[in-house]
Amino acid sequence: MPAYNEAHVLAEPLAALCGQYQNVVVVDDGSTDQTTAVASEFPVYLLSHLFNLGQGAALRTGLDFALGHDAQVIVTFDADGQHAVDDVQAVVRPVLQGTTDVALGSRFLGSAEGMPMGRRLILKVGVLFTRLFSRLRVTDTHNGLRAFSRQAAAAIPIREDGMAHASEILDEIKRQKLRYCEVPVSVRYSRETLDKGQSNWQALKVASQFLVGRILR
Amino acid sequence: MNSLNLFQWLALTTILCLLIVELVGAIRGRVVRTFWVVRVLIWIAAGIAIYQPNLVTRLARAIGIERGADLVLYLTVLTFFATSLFLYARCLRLQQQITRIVRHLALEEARPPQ
Repeated sequence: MPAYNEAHVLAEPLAALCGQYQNVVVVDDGSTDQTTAVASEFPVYLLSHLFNLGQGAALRTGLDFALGHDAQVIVTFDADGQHAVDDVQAVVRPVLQGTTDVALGSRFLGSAEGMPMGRRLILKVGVLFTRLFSRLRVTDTHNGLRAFSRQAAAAIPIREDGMAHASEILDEIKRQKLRYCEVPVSVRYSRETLDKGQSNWQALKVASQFLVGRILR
Repeated sequence: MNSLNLFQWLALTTILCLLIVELVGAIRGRVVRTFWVVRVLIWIAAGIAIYQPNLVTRLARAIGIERGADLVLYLTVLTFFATSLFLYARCLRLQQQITRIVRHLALEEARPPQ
């Protein structure tokens, strides 16, 4: 679970996760609020970046840590409480069964409570972008709830430190011919989720970062 | 010999000073060779272009461009884009190195569940 300045929302998803799962890893991405203190109240592995690098970098750190602790299936889960803990089983199942390497949560196959029209539009553009550049037929491109097999987590490098990591992951799935599937999940939009979400301008920035990074890699 | 105008005097003196600095740096062995050669060539080309503007015009016409100033402009724009891309790529590499260091520290200092 990557977390950056999530002290005000972190307790709820952590309590729900720790109630059902052991081996929860929180990567504090250089928060300047009480994120570390809140996370410390729960039985989680806590890793801290010295300063803010971005969600992609935090995810890679978490994946490296999990791989170093012999994890067989690794789930990524946003810290802002938008995901439902019950959906974790749904994304883990196909990976555990060995039918897929990466299970991607999709709010468009599941449900998205309180999603504004503007956000829906940005995400749909993201889907078109992914189909155009990565040639991957997915319905949701920037969903933080995913499950990786050990092999997939080791194979996908995540060189994009910022939000462009989501596009990079899809790109790598296609490039490395990893097996993937989409799983219906529910996403709940709250004021906090929307405040920290991407604006139209940021979405454009993420897309350009991904494309430039792709050219330079 | 042409009589030099004020700009040519100033520019050529500056370029000469820069070339001396480059040469002294090279003698002291403080330079990266490839970049050093490229830099010195650029200074020399700039010096020739300022000293003999007609030479640039002749070169421009030889490759189908009407004015020497246009050739200089095109070359400047191309160099600017190439340099920007080069610096951006270098910046990305540096960012990746910083990320690796920060990640290494985070993994080293991971706190187990309390």
